[in-house]
Amino acid sequence: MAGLAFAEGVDLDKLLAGTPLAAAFGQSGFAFARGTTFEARVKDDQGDGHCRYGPLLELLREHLDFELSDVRTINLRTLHPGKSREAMAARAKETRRLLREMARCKEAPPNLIDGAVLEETVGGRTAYYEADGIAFRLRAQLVIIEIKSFPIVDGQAADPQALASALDQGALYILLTRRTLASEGFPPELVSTRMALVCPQNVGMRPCLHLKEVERRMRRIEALLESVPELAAVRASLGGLDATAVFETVSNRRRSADDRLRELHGLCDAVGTVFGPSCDGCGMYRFCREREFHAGSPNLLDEAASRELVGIPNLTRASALAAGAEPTPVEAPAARALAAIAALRDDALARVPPS
Amino acid sequence: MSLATLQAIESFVSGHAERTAMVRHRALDSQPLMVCAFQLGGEPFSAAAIAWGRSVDDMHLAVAGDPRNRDLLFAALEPFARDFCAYFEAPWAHAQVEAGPRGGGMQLLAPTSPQIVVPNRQTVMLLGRLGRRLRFLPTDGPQPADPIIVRHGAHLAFLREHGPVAGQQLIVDLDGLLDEHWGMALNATERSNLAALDAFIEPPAGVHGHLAAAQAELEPLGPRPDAEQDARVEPLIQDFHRRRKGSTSPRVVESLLSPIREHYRELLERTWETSWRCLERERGWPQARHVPERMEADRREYSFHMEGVEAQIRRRSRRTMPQAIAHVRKLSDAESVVATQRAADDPLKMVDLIASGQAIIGIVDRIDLGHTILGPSRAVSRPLAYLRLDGECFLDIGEVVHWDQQPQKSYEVRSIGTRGGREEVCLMLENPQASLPEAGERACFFAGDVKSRFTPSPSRDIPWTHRTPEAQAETPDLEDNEEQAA
Repeated sequence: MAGLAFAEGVDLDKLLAGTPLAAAFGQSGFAFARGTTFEARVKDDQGDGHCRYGPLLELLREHLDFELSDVRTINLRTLHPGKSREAMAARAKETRRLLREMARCKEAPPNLIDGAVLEETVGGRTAYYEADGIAFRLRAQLVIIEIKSFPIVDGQAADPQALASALDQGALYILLTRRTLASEGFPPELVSTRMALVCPQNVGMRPCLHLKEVERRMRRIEALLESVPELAAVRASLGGLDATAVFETVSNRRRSADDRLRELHGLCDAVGTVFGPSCDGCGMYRFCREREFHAGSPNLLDEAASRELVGIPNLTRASALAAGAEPTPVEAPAARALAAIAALRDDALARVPPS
Repeated sequence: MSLATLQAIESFVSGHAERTAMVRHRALDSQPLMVCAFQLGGEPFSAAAIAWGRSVDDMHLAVAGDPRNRDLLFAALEPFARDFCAYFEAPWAHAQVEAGPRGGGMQLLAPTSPQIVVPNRQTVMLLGRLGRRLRFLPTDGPQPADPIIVRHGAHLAFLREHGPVAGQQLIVDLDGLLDEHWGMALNATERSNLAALDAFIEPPAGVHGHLAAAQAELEPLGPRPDAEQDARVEPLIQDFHRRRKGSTSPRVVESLLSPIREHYRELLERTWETSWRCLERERGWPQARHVPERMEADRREYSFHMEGVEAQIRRRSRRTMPQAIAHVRKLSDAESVVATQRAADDPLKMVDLIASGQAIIGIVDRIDLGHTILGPSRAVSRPLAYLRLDGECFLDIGEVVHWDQQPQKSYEVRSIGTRGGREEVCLMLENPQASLPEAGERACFFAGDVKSRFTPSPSRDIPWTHRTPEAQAETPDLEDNEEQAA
């Protein structure tokens, strides 16, 4: 289901908006403002989108040996404002041209791109990714910059999860920049596998920069991108079912919630869903969980627990097997373990805790 | 297969959570200090609102207005810091010199230790970050901080560091407490939500616990607010800023705080009531045997911390490598010891040990009191117990096991055979003065230690595996006086 939605370009976070099963998350306005404020401060945003990049350049000088003079920045956000597909495509084209210039090292290419956009064909569709910055110095590698507002204290990120996703993001951008350069016939090694992470230091908003090696994350993301199915292949496997139309109906907020959910259930019944604890954060989490609940699926439990129940169709059946029901050959291994633990449990309940 | 999996299955069928413990494995004070908090968005080092008190009817509330402003935040924290320190430091006033745990060196010890209760682990982390910010503030210079705020910070940071020690009860996170004693058809992420746990344990009549939990988790109990909760407070804060006109004087601020205070009162009252309800429910269970022993360890840790605070010993903001290695060892040692203690105290917790072959259970067939072995100079008594097992024995010959009724005493597995179609294990008592189970009695023996054998390594050298190219410089004071948000 997730693969199909991805291939169709459906934003799962918004798909169920307005229904009782809409995702319960959403960033607080203050958390969002914190990110914007910090980014503006790092870039020395003049308030009109025009940036002077003072603090950022200082960090780059300190950590990447940028020359004091000779800084040429280019802001693609002001060149092509907005987040429309057209603006993104224009920025992607411009980014490609600038990367080419950087790689050739001819004349005086810019050495800091703000708001670079990288394009990538995922599952047969062109997707755009917006990097915070690409820095470049003559006779050195390109460095991807990511600006995040979680603080670094005592040399450690206060929020390890936020750090992990920032590094994943940086790794993706490095990967895409390398692919863009490779498609122009340049060696991918022009892009460093170390990303520059700019975060506030301690309580205030003073930025600090850390270089982080993300090569292993890049390899994992590469494998992930490869595994996205091609839209054409997915469509062919649906056997005449028009998924695009279904998604349109489901996301249509003028229709009743019941109607929309019914349509989505129908589609899910046809293509199947995969649910587990790692789905946390997906816009369809609550929808899929409810489906699993009504099916009594072992996937509602921790991954370790659902692995232990391999071969058992649902939790009600698992309970019956624990109570001694006759297992089928497929159920037998898990059923034996279940019955054994149930016997131990009954025995334990009959004992008195030592005091 | 683990007991937790079975209990989760059963909870799905029954519609409510199942108990995974027959006793309570934590001490719960009759009058602890409950602390609940809400952040503003993702602001990491501040709290928008804090509720605290010693009983459900005693909720005090501190609201900063805008916690991003340092002056407003510190002014709001002050009454909390005073109450907190008064409670937390009270036992230390009666400290007396006592001998160390194994008759070792003399130590100044408080007679009891305090207990802080919070709704979830995230609150422990938030208080810890707040403590990290406050504990190193300068009390002199251009922006002197109130010494009580600094002491408060030291206590909070200590609790955050002590929190991960298995079985400790100086700071109790209720989500962790409930997860330790209840099993239900939710995954680990879902079980970190106190409202969901509470709903699954006691769902409304006629509602399946899973659905009740799914409903309950929609409204966060803090400290991280959701978008909707913050969207409601945003105009209130804007209005507050407009009307205070940059003033942070308590007189001006106090009169303008009401709308924001009411917003957080509503949020925190729900957290407050849920937390006390959960705490009361757990308090009703009988306490496990080894809990007093762990309270004793807490009392020593607490006293050691208080002694340091009183002597104004400045702690490092980050452990050195040898300290960090010793700390991780201490944590993992506590983890395994406490896991064994729990199993020894609680037949339900023993189930997983038996299922995984680390414990055996059966009927004592006969006792051989006359058995002797040759000691260094003469024959010594080493009674034998023959145990006919319910299941199989996966222990090795020579392995040391303990009887759950007397877990400090050791038995050695002498032989494993079969008699009458069942496995029979011969165990030799290694401590002659201990009492033995009686013939015909059901008895359980387990491998593992209920006593820590941990001694900190005297070495100060960093092992080669942990050497880093450059050591990190310390920056204790987090306040960045030039840069202040809002």
